[in-house]
Amino acid sequence: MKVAIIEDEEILHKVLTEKFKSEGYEVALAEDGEKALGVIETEKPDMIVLDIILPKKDGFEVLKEIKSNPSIKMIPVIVLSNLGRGEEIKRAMDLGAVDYLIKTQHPLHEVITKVNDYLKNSKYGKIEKSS
Amino acid sequence: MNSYHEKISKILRIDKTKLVTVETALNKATGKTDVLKNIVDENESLVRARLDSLGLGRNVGAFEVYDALISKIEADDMKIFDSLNLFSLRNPDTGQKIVDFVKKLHPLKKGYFLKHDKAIEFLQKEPPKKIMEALGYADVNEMIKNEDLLEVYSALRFLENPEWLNGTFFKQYESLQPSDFEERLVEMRSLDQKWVRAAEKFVTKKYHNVSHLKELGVIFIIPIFLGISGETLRLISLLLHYSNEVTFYSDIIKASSENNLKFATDLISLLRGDVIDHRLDTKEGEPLKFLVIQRYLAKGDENDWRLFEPHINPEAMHWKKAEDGITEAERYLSSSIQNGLCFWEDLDWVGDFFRDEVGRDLLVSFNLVDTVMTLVKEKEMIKYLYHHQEALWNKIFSSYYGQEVLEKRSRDSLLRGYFEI
Repeated sequence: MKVAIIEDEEILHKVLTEKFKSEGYEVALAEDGEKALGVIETEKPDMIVLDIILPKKDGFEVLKEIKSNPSIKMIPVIVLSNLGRGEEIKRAMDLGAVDYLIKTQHPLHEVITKVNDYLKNSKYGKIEKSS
Repeated sequence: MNSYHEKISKILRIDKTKLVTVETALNKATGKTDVLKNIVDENESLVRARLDSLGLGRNVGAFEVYDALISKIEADDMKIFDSLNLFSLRNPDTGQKIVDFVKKLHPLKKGYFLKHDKAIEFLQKEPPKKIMEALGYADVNEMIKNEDLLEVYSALRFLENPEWLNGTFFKQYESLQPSDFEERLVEMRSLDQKWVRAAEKFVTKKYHNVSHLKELGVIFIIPIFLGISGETLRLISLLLHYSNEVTFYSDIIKASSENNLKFATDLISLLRGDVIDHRLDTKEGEPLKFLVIQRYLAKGDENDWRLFEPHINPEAMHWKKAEDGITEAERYLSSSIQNGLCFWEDLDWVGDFFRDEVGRDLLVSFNLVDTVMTLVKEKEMIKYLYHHQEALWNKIFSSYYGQEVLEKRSRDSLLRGYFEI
């Protein structure tokens, strides 16, 4: 299984990458909103973890473009952001995110658990961890 | 001349005959022998042990060692970041979380600091215009009433113009008396977000996001982070370093308070970080002089003449204590670290030459601070070595006299700038 991390904070994407890899995932990374679409189209991940405050193009814009692109719109997106106001959460969910996690409110391992849980219960079936 | 003279003089970039003179004088003064040889042997054994734990052989190339140390520190930094549940360095509460962790590692001590009333008086006499403008005050008393005094003082350094600060505001310090000081606890804090906004508006020059005020006993973080690898560990190291430094200077200020007449002059010299600026003559038969260098001169000029004189460096002493604090940190972390943080224990003065691809000998520092600063500045390709080199001078002195004498000489002779052995 492959996860795309769209996150510009270096330390955070490195820690997330390590955690996902230790759970058996492959990881694709984009550090700004402009690169995100290209990475998603090329890598065709099973899940996207998307930050909102990103350089060049914000996460809302990226989410909108994902959901309007027929070749990638079915990939579930979990938003992971410092922004935590109701209107921001609503906007992301309306745009098609499957979940919205506010940074600081969840330890990092919970992000992995959320992705695991979502993929287990989704149409993609159970995760087959690589050894 | 022996191979250990070669090794140490090459690391310190000093003339071999000068090193032999220093060794002869130290041997004579203490009655000890083979000290430098033992230092080189210990260095070799520590280098071998650490290379071994990194899975590298002794004949490895310079860049492989360098990369392995950087990878080790990067992995340690990630574990600490994760264990502290920081989640993102850009969160407003990250600075305070790190401060709380450091306080757990190193409970803050009491020191001898400027009374708040006196600090207020200075603000009233010379109002800091840029700070007032940034916070929207027209009246200094209104600002004093509503704002945290220590935060205002912290902001002086990064918001006010250095010429005004040194030429006008700090000029007021010339009137200070011992009675203007009192004993109280050191404070460590992460500044409120409003200072970040003010800093962004006013600060054009590059500045560190952590600093301290020796006279007020405050260590502060401006909560602006780049979100890069090494930043958490660098910040923890700096906070631990400043905790040691503030207490060290407070002891010297307290000792200076016994001489009322020189008190303000001594205080200002300490705050400026003065280092002796003239060469000291040592005639034949006279005792050898050691400088006390309270700054990293190599930062400004790596060929500063004072770096090539026998010396000790209190800054390196504070860093050693900070590194000891870091190695202690492991027991507070929720996840274990491969090879442990104790990997870095006693490596402050350790380093060696390794060959690069074209056969040149390159010095690689095993010092934690050099390594973490190099990681943070990786994109700028800056490699740090001077923390290691200055720590080696301290190692030489403390191997003859012990750590306690090193600290005592640093405290007692810092204002004079040198001592004789």
